[in-house]
Amino acid sequence: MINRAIFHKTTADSASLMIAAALGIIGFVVLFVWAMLSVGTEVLDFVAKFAFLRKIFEAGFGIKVDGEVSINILFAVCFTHAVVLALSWAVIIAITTRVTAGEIEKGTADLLLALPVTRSEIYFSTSLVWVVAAIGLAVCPIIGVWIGSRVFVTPEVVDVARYGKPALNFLFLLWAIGGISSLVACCVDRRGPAIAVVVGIVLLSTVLNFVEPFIESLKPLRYLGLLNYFRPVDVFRAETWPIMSMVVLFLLAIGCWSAGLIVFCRKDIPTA
Amino acid sequence: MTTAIIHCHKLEKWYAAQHVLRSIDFQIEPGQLTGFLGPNGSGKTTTIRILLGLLKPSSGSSTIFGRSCQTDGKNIRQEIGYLPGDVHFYSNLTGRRTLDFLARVRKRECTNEMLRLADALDLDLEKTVRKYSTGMRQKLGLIQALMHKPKLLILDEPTSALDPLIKQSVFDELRAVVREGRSVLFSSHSLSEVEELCDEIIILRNGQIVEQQQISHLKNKALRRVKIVFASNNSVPDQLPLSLHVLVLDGATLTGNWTGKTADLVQWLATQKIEDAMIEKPDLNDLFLTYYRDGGSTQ
Repeated sequence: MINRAIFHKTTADSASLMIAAALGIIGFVVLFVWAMLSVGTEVLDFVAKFAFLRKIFEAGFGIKVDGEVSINILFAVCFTHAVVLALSWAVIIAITTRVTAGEIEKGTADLLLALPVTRSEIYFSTSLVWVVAAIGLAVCPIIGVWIGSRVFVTPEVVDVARYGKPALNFLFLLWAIGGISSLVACCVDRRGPAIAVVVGIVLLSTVLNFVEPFIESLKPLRYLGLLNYFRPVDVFRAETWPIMSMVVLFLLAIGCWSAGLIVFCRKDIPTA
Repeated sequence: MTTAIIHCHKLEKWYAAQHVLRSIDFQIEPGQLTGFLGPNGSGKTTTIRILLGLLKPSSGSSTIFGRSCQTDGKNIRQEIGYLPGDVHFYSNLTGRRTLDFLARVRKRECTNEMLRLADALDLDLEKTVRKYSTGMRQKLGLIQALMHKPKLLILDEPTSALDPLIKQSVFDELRAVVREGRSVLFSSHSLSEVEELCDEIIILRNGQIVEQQQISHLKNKALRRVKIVFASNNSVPDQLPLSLHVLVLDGATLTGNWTGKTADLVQWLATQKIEDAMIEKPDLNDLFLTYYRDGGSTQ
């Protein structure tokens, strides 16, 4: 089912982007740890004074400011930070759109698909790359927290293993985005529009989950937003596996990915 | 069980309301160099893309080596070499790395043949594809199509960007391929190339096959330009043979086309008072243009 040459080439083509994003996330999380240690408490005290800001913090990061907030919980916020999300999503979207829409756009699909390899083999081989990349990216925030807690003095013990559950939740989120992106890339023959559609879907979903706490009429729609199933701070605090969220994200990932496979196997390949 | 290398049966293709292929029926026997001719938009590339599984036919069927192109594409493509009309490669790779990658996907060892072809076509494989000219990319495309010694080569306008010397090298390679009993489908809109190279010709127009013939048979159907200089103006007969179509009659000099057998023309000339007569070599170009303009009626 996997063509090793295609897998290796896709990995090589994506490697520099993956490494840059991974280093970016790790570096950012180290800085984030430093910032939380330096000004985290002051920021929370300031936010606690304003009801509106409290609500934004709760919607955006899942932190109840008036409750007890440990330094470990503050570190867990890094999973929902825009920089971490943007970098990781960018890598997944870039890889998933590279082979289907990207190859058709560049005209190299003609060569690839005229080789003795089935379309499903191509799809499996390239999917394996982003599935593995997502695992690496999901671990990056933990590495950042670990490095940060070693470099800077922390007022309490940082148990890195506790970040495993939010990281797993993060992994399923990345897989869901990968599945959606794979489907879109198979439906669209140009990479630019494919990326625009995926980014549009992800942004809409993010905005929906961010604004629904403020707008009563949007509350029933919150289940449509991806971030409804990604609550790393809640997961960290409760120390329970977010089984339902992961199941929903996994079903979304596998459903979209399978639909993409069907579309790719049946579609006409246009000339570039 | 068919022995044909390629067999298309009532192949149809619609793009929305556009009827691109109309009941395409043809077969190609093994060990032949077949020219696939037609003007732009006649359906050559669409037919080729269906054969390679890049497009799904709206109806009809196609087989290569007796296997269905729609359901057994992977096995078929193991023995096919394909050069797309507008060939594109991974611009960040060198020529050598590109060919290595394609060979690895095929799971074939092609190094020796790859290097021989690069030498024959005078291509530097160490340059990145980004630095290649259009002609160099075309050569790289030919090498990747030929390097695994496929049983069937499908070339979509392979010589469009090549200089005359390299074109001859490519023709030599293709002739060698056919001598080894392998087959070539050579798509082109250049009649002279096909006439020079191919044994058989398939002509498409508006998504339909208007002719499939051996080149030699086709030449018999071609018009012969004749120029007859009669002894005097009075020697020009009132009644001319039906096969002689007059283009210009200038005094005693008649220029026209002869659509019948050459022997009949010679026999008729022998009965006339003439000073001179010239019969030109059959020119496929006229025939070809007739197909292009009228959809195939040559008689």
